[in-house]
Amino acid sequence: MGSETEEQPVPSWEEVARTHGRFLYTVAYRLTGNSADAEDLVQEVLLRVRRGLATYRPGSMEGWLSRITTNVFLDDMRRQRRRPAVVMADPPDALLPAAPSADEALASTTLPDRVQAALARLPEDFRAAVVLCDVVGESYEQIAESLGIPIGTVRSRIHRARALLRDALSKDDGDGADGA
Amino acid sequence: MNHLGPLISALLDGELSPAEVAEADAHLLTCDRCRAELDDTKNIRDLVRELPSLEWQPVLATRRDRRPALALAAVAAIALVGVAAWPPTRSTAPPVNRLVAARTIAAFTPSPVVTVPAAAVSAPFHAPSSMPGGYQRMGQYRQGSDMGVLYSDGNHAMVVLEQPAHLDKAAMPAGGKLVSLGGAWVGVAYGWSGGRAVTWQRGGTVFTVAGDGPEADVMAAAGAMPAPKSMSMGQRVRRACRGMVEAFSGLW
Repeated sequence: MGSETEEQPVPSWEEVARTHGRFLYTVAYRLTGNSADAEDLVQEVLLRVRRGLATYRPGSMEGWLSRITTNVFLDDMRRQRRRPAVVMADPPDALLPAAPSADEALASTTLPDRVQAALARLPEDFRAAVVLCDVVGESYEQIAESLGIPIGTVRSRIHRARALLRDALSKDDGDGADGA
Repeated sequence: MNHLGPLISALLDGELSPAEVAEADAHLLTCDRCRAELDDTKNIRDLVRELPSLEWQPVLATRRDRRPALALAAVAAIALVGVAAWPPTRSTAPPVNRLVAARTIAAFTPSPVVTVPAAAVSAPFHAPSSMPGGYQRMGQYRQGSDMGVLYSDGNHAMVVLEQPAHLDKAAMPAGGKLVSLGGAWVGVAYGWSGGRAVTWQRGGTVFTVAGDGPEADVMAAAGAMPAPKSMSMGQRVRRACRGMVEAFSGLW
């Protein structure tokens, strides 16, 4: 309200990478579901941060970063749909050349891993909403603003996403293997 | 009677007005189905909330390793091959800095390197025929699924290495700093025994540019690399399979 003339210095993008890299990578991984795409997404976001820092208004850096990350992710997915390459069912990450780290490989049967796999099967719009809500911790209002959708749509996407996650995980429990 | 539906998530997330909360509570008292859905939804929400935060290292300076990144062994190898085995197409031999070769070869035992014609390192690889600063492509090699291209400007040598792989950050040499490359990539710049190098990852490939000339040359070359097309999942799998075949057939 009042004149808050105390100008917080705008951080350099290197500082952003150092301070928030882990946060960024985590959000990127939850969205993309594999480390190679997550690294690419972090790259793209850092480049946009570098170009856009001038317009950053001191406030929640992580809110700003997650907004950029989700939007870059959704743009990429839409672009890929417009130019469909060879269509294949999503193969398990283990086949990719971007070999998962030892930690990732060891963790491949843990519950978080199954939750991640279920996340990766959600439609992207639902995934973005639930990642912003439950990984980033944003309010519905912030999510609506980040994604440019009405708050009622945020509400239904989050609930629908959770219902789909529940179905996917209970199916895992049911047949003990990949149903596909 | 209307069930709560999406209001269940909103209730859990504290996103309902007090009046809506009162209404939802009243409904829950009488509706087993919505109570069960509330429990299930809460469990799922908690599972996602509890997903761990993941490691990411922006600057690769946490640990000093006596052996620099594997990529640099390839630099040594290519510098050797560049001096010994690639006759220049023009009349004068490129004065590829022999010190680079001598110094680095003393430090490493490079694995066998197979030199190949230029056509063999076209797509899916990216290194162009020339680089800023008057660097011209002098030769190229394949090693397993990796590709290296040697450039020279007549005084200095530079190599571009492309590895379809995931960057092993723990294997990177100490002292790296985060750099922006021509506004196109974010990479890590570091020194190696022969000069400066920079490494970044994009589109499922690890790129390294290393040279014995000014750091600005190395950075300009890195910034001039064409963007890898982002690969579809199918392309990645095919490339992985091809990489495996090549890795094994490269062992002769």
